[in-house]
Amino acid sequence: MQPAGLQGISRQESMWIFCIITGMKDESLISAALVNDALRNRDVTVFQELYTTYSEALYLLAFRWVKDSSLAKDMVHNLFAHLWDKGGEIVITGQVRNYLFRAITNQCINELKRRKRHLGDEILQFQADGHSLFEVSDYILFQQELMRCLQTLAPRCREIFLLSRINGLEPSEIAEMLDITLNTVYFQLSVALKSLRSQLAPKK
Amino acid sequence: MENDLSKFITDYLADSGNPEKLRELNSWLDAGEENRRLFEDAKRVWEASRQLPPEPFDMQAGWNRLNDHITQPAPATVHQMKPGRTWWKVAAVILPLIALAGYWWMKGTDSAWITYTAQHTVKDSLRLPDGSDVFLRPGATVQYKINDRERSLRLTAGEAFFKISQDAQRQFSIMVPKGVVKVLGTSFNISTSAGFSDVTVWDGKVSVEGNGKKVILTAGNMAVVNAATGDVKQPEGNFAYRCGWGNSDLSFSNQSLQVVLETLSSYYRVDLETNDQLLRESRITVRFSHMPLDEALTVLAEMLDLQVHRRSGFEYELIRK
Repeated sequence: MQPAGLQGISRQESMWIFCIITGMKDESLISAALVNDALRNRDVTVFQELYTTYSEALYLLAFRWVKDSSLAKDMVHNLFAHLWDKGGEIVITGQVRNYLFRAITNQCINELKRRKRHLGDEILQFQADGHSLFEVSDYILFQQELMRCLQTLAPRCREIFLLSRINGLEPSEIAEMLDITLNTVYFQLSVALKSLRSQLAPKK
Repeated sequence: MENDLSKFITDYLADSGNPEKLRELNSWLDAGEENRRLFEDAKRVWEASRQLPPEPFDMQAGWNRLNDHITQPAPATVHQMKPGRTWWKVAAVILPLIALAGYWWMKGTDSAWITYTAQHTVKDSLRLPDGSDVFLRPGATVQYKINDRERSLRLTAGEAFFKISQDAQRQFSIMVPKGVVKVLGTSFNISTSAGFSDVTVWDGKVSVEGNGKKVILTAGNMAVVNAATGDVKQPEGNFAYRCGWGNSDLSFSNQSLQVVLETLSSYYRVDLETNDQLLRESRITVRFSHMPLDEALTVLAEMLDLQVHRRSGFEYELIRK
């Protein structure tokens, strides 16, 4: 039974909400030692915990490299399947997050090479340079936060914002598609942006 | 201050080419540190949201898939084989099995869906068993099932242009999220994204169904299917130009120069721009059929009395004479 407020929300939107609820996990509870043990002992509970904590962040990172959402999904699946299959052979040292970010990046590089696709400067820099890990972590956190804040927008406002930003439609195309005036599109975009900005701006 | 910000965001971010508005923005930014900070924050959100994936991560589906994988028997037995001594015994059993499976697979394709994802970086094409052609933009994915009784296709992602061969006996149906497109023989374009699918007809007739409603489209018409509700909308106007990338025939009917330039830019893979707001809004009717870029630019320049300046290998600016 859905809460009253969720009724009438489209499938796409309710999926967005779903990832918010599951996306907020406390990473600090999962140490490298815990993961190593779980992989060796084939502990599904901890493995699932690992998955729910990191899979969304890894999806966003993979999408950043490969620019293809279904391929990004496969990359996440393959990484976790590999972790499970290799089990005891894998020993994670340092932070779990860093290990996973590196692993998914290497996997994306291999896949892009296999498909003879161009490797961007960003991904190569990330592979070579330890410092860019901070930039990447920031990027992922910001994207996750942004997705959470999108839920606070009014449905129409969110729809117009997503059409513009994700689907890359021009304001004139959105106006035509939704049968509204160009001014309304601009107005809704600015409402969305103002609201997101005030929620996401660095707190002083 | 928030009101100022709102005005500049809509002016600048959505239309960053206008020098007049750019000047206004710059003087506003120079007026105070606070303004600059507000603008930078807004710009960060604007840029970051462009990087979001078209569909959110479905963790439940992802876990289910992974769970299927990890509950399978571990592949450990394979490692225990002693290479060189027993491999032929294994091969003796497995090879006929593979051959048999292959046979059943080939035999079974008659009723199975075949998946194809566009590989080429510009435009990929696919000839279906019934003689229909599908042109796909990079990343577009189709699944099709074509046999003596039916011609069915699913467009699961991206944009594709279809030239469907005539066959009065077998209707061709294309499924998009929450909608069905049915045709007998014609050409049209479909673009699918997370929120919507739009269908634009080049010639012939096409029916589009969703959520119990059905519209019939003819040349130049467009219908938009909402991927969540299945609602079908039919905006006014002639949208034939949306098919241009697929059939190398760009036809505009009473469209703004803005739309014309964007479509041509994407088709010829160049950057066509003008800073002239009035010019951008002027509406034209024009058709570029299998025409090289130089010729297309000459036609535009003649029609609107323009000069075309080439600023670099791929950038052109249009200025009124």
